[in-house]
Amino acid sequence: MNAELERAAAQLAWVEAMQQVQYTLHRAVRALDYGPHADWVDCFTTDAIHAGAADSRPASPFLRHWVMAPDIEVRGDTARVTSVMGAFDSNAEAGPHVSMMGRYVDEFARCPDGRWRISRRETQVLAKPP
Amino acid sequence: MTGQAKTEELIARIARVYARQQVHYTINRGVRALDYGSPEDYADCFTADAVYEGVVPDGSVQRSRGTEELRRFAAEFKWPPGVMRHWLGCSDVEIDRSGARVTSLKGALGAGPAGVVMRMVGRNTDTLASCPGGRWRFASRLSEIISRRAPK
Repeated sequence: MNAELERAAAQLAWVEAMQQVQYTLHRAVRALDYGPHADWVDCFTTDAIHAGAADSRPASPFLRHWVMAPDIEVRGDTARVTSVMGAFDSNAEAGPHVSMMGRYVDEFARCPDGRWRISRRETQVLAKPP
Repeated sequence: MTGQAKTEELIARIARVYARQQVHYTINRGVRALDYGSPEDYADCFTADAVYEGVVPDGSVQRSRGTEELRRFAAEFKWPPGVMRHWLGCSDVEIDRSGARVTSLKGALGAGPAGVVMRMVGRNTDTLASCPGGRWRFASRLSEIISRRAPK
């Protein structure tokens, strides 16, 4: 393969990594809210570390998570990703509202099947209701 | 891998990346076209025989089928009181040989006494088909409202 094709292949690999990381971020959010649980687990490597306090409040039927603005730094077969995250909820008094917001600090790894999965996730909650 | 095989592999990878980006293009184009026009742009995000179903919390369903009904839906679309603009995000896109399946979080923003407020949160469940020319279009859309703020 000539040098131009090698460069094109490297550029394509970067675009693929950017797409696949975002695919996993969005898949994890969808699976967290709608299941199946196995899909959420499949967004992580088998030895993944998940740090950060879990929300012990009972789940509201209106609770929906979101993630946005991922800053993705690809380094070969790994990536470091920071994203804004949060949740919407609803009640009779406030209607739909942002009930929590924070940040994900993730490490991703490219797996043998080509998928990019989260190998380490740190959930930093910046604000939530008392 | 031979040079020819490597080139074919690259072409296949580009096609996959292109398909995924086309799906996102259509998803976002549909939001812009509904909020800012034109109705033709909105209808053009759907296949000629596409089916749209909008379900609201009281269970009532609004259905549109095919290009002309979808164009009319967009042309006659009226904002609920207090609502200003839609948003859509977190699109989970699965693509295979049969097409694309997408679930997206969506909502609507509006003005309240204290500033911008969330008027609605919901979900779109879409299927998209690859069309001649490279565009991907909605073959079906189920639009569900999960929660909304009653107008005051």
